[in-house]
Amino acid sequence: MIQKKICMLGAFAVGKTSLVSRYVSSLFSEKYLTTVGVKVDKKQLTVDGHDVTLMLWDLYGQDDYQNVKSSQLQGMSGYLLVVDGTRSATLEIARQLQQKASQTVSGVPFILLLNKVDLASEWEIDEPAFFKLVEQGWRVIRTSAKTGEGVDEAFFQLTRAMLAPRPPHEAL
Amino acid sequence: MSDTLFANLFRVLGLAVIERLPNAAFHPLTPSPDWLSAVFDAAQSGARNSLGGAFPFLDHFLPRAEAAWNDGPRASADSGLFAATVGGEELLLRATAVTVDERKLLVIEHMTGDADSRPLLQRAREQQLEHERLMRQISTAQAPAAAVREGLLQLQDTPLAPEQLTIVERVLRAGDDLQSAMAVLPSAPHRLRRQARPR
Repeated sequence: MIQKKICMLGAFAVGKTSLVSRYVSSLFSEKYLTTVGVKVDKKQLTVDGHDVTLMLWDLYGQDDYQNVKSSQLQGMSGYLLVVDGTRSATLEIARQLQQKASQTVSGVPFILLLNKVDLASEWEIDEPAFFKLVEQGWRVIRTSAKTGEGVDEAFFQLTRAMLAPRPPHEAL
Repeated sequence: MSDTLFANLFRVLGLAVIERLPNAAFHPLTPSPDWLSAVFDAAQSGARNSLGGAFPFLDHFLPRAEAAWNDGPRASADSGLFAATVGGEELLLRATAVTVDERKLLVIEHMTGDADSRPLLQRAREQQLEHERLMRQISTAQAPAAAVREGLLQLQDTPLAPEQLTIVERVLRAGDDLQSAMAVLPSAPHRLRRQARPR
């Protein structure tokens, strides 16, 4: 069994914990419960014939109160950058975290998740910002922890990318 | 002091002290609190005790702990806060690896009461989300407010009766006061941050 560590990175209240809960337990709660510290969940899946155990590191949201530490990122095989589409400021925090992650563990794949697609009518992040990320070579998936849209695909695609041999310093 | 007293003291403090044995197994030196008893109860019934199995985060912390134990008595390793669900309840824990009298110890602390920063951070972040929502509403209102002001300025340049001009000027002043009031609102999160910063 292959074991891979995935970190969930993003600002606070973007939906990192909800995405993990949706993926691992098929559960969703409207109530916002902030994450303090690190929580690790496991999920097994099969990708291209490989049995993989994902160790999902749900890290607290980056903000004025808590900073993500490099030691928490070490050993990860990939990461999901989560952005709340209804809060444009969370995209800048995702960019900062991507830089920190790439400095700590270079060459690992990542996917940016534009979360809360069920609230698309309230989105602040517009199409030009989205296409700019794609032009930079970032893989972007629209997700909703509430409806489940894109969630399984995000973890599956990241796992596939983690298993694939790839040159260093290359985003997914 | 008796061993019973120490055992009760550790329990009251929410501390579990576990020794890492030469065969890499873990042995509790204090009575296991409820949240840890399942791990060692299983071990006593013949299963291999696995802290990492019960607390997956520790699987990744233990190599750092091993490094600290191998570095001698002055070295220690701090896991930072981590959450674990035990019996349906999510606990906030922190592990520290230290060496005392050449014995390798893992101390796990259950953060409760004032040491549990979750309620404080929950409140702070809820307030920050509310502030962000308020700022979005203000931002949404600023464009029509500016349009109203522009219209009033244009109206001011047209021939008006003195009474009408007085009304236009009064509304313009009220609009300026409103904009000034809105302009100082963004400082609110800084006040919140000072109030809510954890120890």
